[in-house]
Amino acid sequence: MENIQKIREKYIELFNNNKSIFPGKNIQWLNEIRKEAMDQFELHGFPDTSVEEWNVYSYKNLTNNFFPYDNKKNNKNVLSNIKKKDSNCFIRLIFSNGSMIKLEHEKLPKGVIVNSLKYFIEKYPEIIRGRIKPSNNYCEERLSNILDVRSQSVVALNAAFHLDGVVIIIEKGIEVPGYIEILNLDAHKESYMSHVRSLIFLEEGAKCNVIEKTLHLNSSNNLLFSSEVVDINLSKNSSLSMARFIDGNLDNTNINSIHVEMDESSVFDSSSFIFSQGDAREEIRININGKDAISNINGLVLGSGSSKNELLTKVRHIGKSTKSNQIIRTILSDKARGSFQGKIRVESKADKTIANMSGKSLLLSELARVNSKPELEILADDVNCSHGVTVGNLDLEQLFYLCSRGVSLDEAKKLLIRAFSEIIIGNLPSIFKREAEELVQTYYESR
Amino acid sequence: MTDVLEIIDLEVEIDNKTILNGLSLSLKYGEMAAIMGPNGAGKSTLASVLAGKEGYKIKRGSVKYLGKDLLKLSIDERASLGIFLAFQYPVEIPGVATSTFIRTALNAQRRTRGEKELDAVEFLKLARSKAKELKMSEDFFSRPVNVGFSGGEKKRAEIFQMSMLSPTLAILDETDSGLDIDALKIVAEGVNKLRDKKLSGLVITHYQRLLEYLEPDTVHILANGRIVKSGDKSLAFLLEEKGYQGIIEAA
Repeated sequence: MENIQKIREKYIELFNNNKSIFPGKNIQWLNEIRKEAMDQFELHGFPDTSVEEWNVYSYKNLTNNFFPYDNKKNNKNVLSNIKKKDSNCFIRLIFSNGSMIKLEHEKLPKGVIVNSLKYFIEKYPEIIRGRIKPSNNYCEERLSNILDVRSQSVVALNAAFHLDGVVIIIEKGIEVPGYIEILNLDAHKESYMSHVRSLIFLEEGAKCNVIEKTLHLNSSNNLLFSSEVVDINLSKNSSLSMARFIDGNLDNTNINSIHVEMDESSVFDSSSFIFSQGDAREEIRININGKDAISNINGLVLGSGSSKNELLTKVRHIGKSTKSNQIIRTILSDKARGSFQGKIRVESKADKTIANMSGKSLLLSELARVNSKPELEILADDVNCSHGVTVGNLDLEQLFYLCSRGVSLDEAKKLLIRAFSEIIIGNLPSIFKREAEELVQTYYESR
Repeated sequence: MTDVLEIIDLEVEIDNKTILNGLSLSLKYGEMAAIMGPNGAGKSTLASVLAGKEGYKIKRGSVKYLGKDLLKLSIDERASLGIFLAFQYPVEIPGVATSTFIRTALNAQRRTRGEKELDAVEFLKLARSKAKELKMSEDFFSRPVNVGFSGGEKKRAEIFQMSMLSPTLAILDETDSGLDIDALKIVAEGVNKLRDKKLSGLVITHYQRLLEYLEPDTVHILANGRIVKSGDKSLAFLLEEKGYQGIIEAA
């Protein structure tokens, strides 16, 4: 535990001393983005619970410790534990401790541009220019019309310190077969931080499925802080399905921010599975700019032990006749904490918006705690919106019914817990289903 | 031969209110007994207590099932020993497919009894033949348990579950309510098929119509928490004529 002001100074020092290891260190626009981000972080440091988006519980491991860079980068040993690429997986990018260590694919068809961020920054920086946004781009304008940068400090830190990431650019009309898999592995022996910065750009009419898994291979007694910032840009008529799995052990703090810009008639299907044993947080911000665009957000938050898992969504309807649907399920046992803060905002010109949100939480123990905050801000006149959350425990009538047919109480509980999350798996595109079932199954068996 | 079920002087309380008050009843192998009685007499409580539902306080009395002390067994143990309760209001379970549910239940029971579990193919074969007997379409196998089923479909699904699990003692809690005449006939036929295999049953009902198809061996009138009158099926017809009040007063 260190003094918070001291910690901030250490990050500034780390930034100033490591400029030589940043990829693209001679590219001026990139240096400016890093510098501005560092300045933004320097201003407030990590957010505390006085910042609205961070007010459910504090992230003490994150805020009370300094995380250096990982000195033993490119830990290829982790590859020996990884099973072979699935036959449906068209491209696989494997990251360890924040840097890409392996890229697997057959011959790429024309129009499918996929590699690490480091690769593009070093070889083709012009492709990246303009696609990485300044970090204040993600900040929230409060009612006072003041831009509040405090909630996005981790995004700023990521922008300042990232060494690598994923770049996926799918050109006009191209449909990527199967799916692209991003695997983030951490096999750390010492305490450190890693930041992944990713860009997914789909041009007009392009289609792509992406599955991302953040897994932790070993447990250790050293704290780890990892962050990922993903920028997604969907052009007219393009379609992206994304499933994200976030696992972590007790000592991990994992903070993710997804930012999506959607043009006319584009489709974004997102499913987040958050089941870290430590602290994990995912924030999904979607701007539905173009008319007739559709966004579906599914989330399954599972917690046990003393884990803290949090999902935030902010869906802004800006274009006319846009649709969004959010379905979030949270299941907590032991002393786990969980949170869902979901917001739908319908801007004044976004008439004919259809926006729905349903958040349900299942508490399996007396000590588990959940926070649910559904929010709806409607500035347009002609809309169809709903939002609702529930919190409860297992239904005794259902348990009695199952047991009265010969199912043991334990098995009946398992059936009902699985049934509660079934809708999230059921909503996945079929190409992701098996993977998701396996990972969720593993979770249930191990906790 | 011993009785399937022997209830002696049972007193049951819920929320400090006495519901069953000295109820005694016995049921022989293969016997089909109708339990009739006015609203609030304790009919559904009797069914719930026999199936093992929590929340009831047994103040006195005993229940023996196949010579065992039934009240000491857990809900699922009772089911594995052949007790089946057809619910008055079958419970909806979103997210659990009907076939998954019944297969889990059937195999759990078989495991408890030390029998071989059915694999997916064997199970489907059995389920198809039973569905056909009950004139049910197979669509509902993949639908979540009772979700979106009409009242009649729910009751038929209960009988389907019963025929899949082939119990020793079936307790039908107002299975006839909400059924049209055709559905009633199908349900009764389903139960009668199992009777050939020595099913014993407690049929809780308000109406004698189901009894016309089921032909109970005995009829018991339950009022104020105990059996006030027992007889053969002619008692049901007498009841239709005189009403509960007439019979209870005469008793």
